[in-house]
Amino acid sequence: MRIFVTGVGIVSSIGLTVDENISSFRQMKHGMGKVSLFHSELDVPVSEVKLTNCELKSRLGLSMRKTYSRTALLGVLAAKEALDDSQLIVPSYRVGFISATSVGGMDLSENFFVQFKQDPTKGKLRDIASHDCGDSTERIAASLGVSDFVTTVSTACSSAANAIILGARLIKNNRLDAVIVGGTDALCKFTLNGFNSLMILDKEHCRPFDNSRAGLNLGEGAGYLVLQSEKSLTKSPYCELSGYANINEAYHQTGSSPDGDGAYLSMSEAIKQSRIAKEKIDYINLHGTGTPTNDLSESKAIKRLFGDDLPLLSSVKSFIGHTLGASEGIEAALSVLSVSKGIVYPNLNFVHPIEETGLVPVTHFEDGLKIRHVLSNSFGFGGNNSSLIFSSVEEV
Amino acid sequence: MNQNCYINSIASIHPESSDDLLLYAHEPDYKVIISNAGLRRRMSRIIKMGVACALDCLKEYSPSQIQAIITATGLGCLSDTEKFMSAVVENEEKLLNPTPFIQSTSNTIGGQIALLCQIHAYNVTYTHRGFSFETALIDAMMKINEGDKLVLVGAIDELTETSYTIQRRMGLLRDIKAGEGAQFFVIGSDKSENSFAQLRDVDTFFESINDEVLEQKIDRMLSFHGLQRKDIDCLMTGRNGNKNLDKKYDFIESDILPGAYQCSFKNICGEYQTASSFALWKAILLMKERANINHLLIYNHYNNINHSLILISKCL
Repeated sequence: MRIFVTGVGIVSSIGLTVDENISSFRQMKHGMGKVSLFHSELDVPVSEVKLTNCELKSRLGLSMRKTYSRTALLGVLAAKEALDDSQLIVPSYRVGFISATSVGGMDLSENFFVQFKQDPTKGKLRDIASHDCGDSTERIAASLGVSDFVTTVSTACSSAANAIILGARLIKNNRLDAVIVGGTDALCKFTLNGFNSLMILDKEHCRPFDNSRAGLNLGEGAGYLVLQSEKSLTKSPYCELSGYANINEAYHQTGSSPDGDGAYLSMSEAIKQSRIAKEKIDYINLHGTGTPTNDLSESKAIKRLFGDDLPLLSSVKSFIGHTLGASEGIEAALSVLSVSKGIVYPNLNFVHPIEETGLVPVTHFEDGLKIRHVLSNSFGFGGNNSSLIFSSVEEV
Repeated sequence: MNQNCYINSIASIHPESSDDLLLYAHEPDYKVIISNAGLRRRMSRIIKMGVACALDCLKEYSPSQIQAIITATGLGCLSDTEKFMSAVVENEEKLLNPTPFIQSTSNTIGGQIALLCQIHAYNVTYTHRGFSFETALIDAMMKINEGDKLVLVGAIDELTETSYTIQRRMGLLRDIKAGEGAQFFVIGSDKSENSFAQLRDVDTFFESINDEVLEQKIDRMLSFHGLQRKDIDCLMTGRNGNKNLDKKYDFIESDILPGAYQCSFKNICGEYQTASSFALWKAILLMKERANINHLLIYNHYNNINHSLILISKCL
């Protein structure tokens, strides 16, 4: 059964809509800057969405008096764009909403916690009510008017890929006709300090796949796709989701194996499922976080899989940062546009290839290319590795 | 979905004394189950609970047989989250130990099971309030339908002093006992002599629903499986002691399935977001014990927002 992609929505540090994002890539405009959303002792670049929570609420027409986590607000913005784009008529079909997040409403919980810690009778309850991952999902689902099936995936950095995979399978198993899938995560003190404690944040602007790379920069945002069965289509689709894989590397709780066994397995399983020849993959949207270990193991896995006949490849994380639970939502949306508009995204800050593998990513924006199939990777803590394949409708 | 799903192994770590206000799980001697001492020491309570329960459930299987690990948790690893949050505040963002951060991620338990058993298969974690476990079950059924032979599915939630205090302050525990637990199940495509029951169907519905919608949902589910209301021998509901929330169960008990033997489960396990996993465990044992229960329906709701139905039948 074929799974069509009919809508995309993106919110990131370089744009509040899909068009704004694409235009920033075209102009080589990245979104890194200092932390401005909250006070932090850490002096590291981050990639923030350039609107306050009040500005987001006002843009969305939401009540100023109601409390929404930033994760929910970013999610509503991107998910609405995706649903509008798809022209799907929600009440006519069985429609689901599956969202991914790694922190949920942590941006508010940490406010609550400072007061609560001093006195357990203190702390505003409305700031803790959205702590759990399901809260943002239910807020977004309500704003979309979707209620047939609602759930949340949380597998760290691969969360949104797994939300997309679940959505596709629910359609294939005849439980849904259409589904809005993706992820949202807001930047917060908790994750910023978490990644800092792991010593994988670059104090400078990150340099994915470059030999001098020294870590990642965190970001925030949201990205969603609309997946539909053939019978529910009301417009001509962007492309198809032709293959996907979710595997566990089972190597280490946080690190990836030096030879990229997990990355190799997830990419090859996704290709196997899509039944396309790997030579027909024209672009790889890398996980490419900029950490020494991820980029080395990912590039080793790519070389092992593709040999010397490499597709074009790049990581967008030097533009928008690593947006964790949202990252594959955003990057899947970018991959969809790569197939439909022939776009490849520049890998900003790349100068020298990684010594051991020598992979050279794309460094300039291009569109109008013939991109038949795109492979998009996302690898996370817990050994969770996922890969997706988006294919041109004519090529399946 | 066409492929039959059999529940071939079950395991649970749950509260055993229902006299307390806070129902903490009766935990096993972890040394026996998680033999690696270094690893065990690093694990927080919820991780030990989840991993031990999963290992217990898998003890008759070799890891290479398991084609998916699907976990569910409503609130994730709360005490690790709190520990790291405290450290961020206390140490003013300096010199933090990364372990509680690493372990605070919702997929830690699924990842640890994979790591310990070296299972490289499909691995996912759902964390959506009263739908977390239900989504995991639906995923497991789809996996079997897609051709998998054996999958591991389970749910874990922990009760902490902080979560109890906050839930009380929010008024979420009026006449309700807070609980916790871990339940794991091996679901298979083939019936074996160890098969406990057949997992027939799982359905979820979001937001407040009226009795009419509930009735339609139940009738649709039953007729899809060639069953009638009178075929349901036992109805298990998520009554938790709160009069307002329990009202939702009145109609199904008195009007939809009045002939069924009726029971509940939160008096034992307490209320938590994945409590329906305990319901399934208990329902399976009940069916095994009583010859006259052929079909059993579980209806649970979490806070009148997340409603779910789970249908199981005796293995034919």
